Amino acid sequence: VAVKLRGISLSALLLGLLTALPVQAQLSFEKTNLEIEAKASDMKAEAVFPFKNTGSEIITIREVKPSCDCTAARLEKRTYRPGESGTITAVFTFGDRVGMQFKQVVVKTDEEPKGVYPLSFQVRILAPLTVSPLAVFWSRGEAASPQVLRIVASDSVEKLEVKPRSGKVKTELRETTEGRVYELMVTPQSTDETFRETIVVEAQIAGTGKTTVTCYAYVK
Amino acid sequence: MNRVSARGIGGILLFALLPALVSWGWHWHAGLLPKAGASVERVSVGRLPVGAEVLWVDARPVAAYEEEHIPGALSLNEESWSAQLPAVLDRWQPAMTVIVYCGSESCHASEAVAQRLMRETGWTNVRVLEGGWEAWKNDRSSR
Repeated sequence: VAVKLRGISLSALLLGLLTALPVQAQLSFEKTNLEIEAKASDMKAEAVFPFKNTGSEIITIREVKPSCDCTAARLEKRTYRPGESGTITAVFTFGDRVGMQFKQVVVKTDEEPKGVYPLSFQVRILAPLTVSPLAVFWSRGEAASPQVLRIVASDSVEKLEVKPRSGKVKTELRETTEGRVYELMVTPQSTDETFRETIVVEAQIAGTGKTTVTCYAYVK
Repeated sequence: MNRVSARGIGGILLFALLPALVSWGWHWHAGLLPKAGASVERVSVGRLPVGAEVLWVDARPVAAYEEEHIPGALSLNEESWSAQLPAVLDRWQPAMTVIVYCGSESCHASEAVAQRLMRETGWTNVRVLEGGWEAWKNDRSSR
């Protein structure tokens, strides 16, 4: 019985290993992860993934699926003969995104049992001006104490201006790191009534004109 | 006989564990496992906060939102963040729980929108709806 069970165990092991191990990838990508740096004004970034069919069979790419509606994938053609090369291009449209963004594209082929190739890319979108937080809140009747918005300006920012739309809050801009980091102190004139105040932070950018970030102060 | 069988079964289980570990290792290496560090708390349709006022935020593309959405939800996605954010800020009240949803379990937009919302507003009572719009709709149609 012990011999028989040992035989079953060995079969289970072999069967398990065969189903769990991935097949040798036949589509060889030069890189499966890319790092890209872009300016927010670029609006979009392209991640190009060159590959080659290093197997002995013809491979058909069935699907190229991006992880986000903001990314479109381009493929030159679907079928690749052994030794043939191609590229998959992912075009990521920024929209209003800033900072580090992680995107993935999954490539599925007709390889058996499973031809799945996850490709990923990271895009660091650099904005000339970032403000954090973008909104500050006070409760009605609470002490009208100041709250701080932290502003980080890129090297291209020549001049910074703060423009509250009405007089419901006082603002004071303090430079904490020369030409780079600022603290914007926002203090409501009163918290007796609820209101929304819009504060526009405007930066003069070298050579390209102005950029603005809109911030909000609320008494709720 | 019984001892032998128990040892044999134990062996099978042990051997079955090995391929599972190999498979996990490959998936981890290939980056196919869900990413750790998802910092926004998740809530399922069956466990929505009782008695609390909910501010629903729809992180799907505008076209999907316009087609159908959770009643009262506001559209907020990273395509048109600056234009859509003021409406969410206007609607929010301190006692509210904000619940962000996207299309289904496989989408990541709700997590990204929830994280950005917390970062830009300082709100802490923000959750992500497990299973997104698909789960909410299935739950409603099964009632």
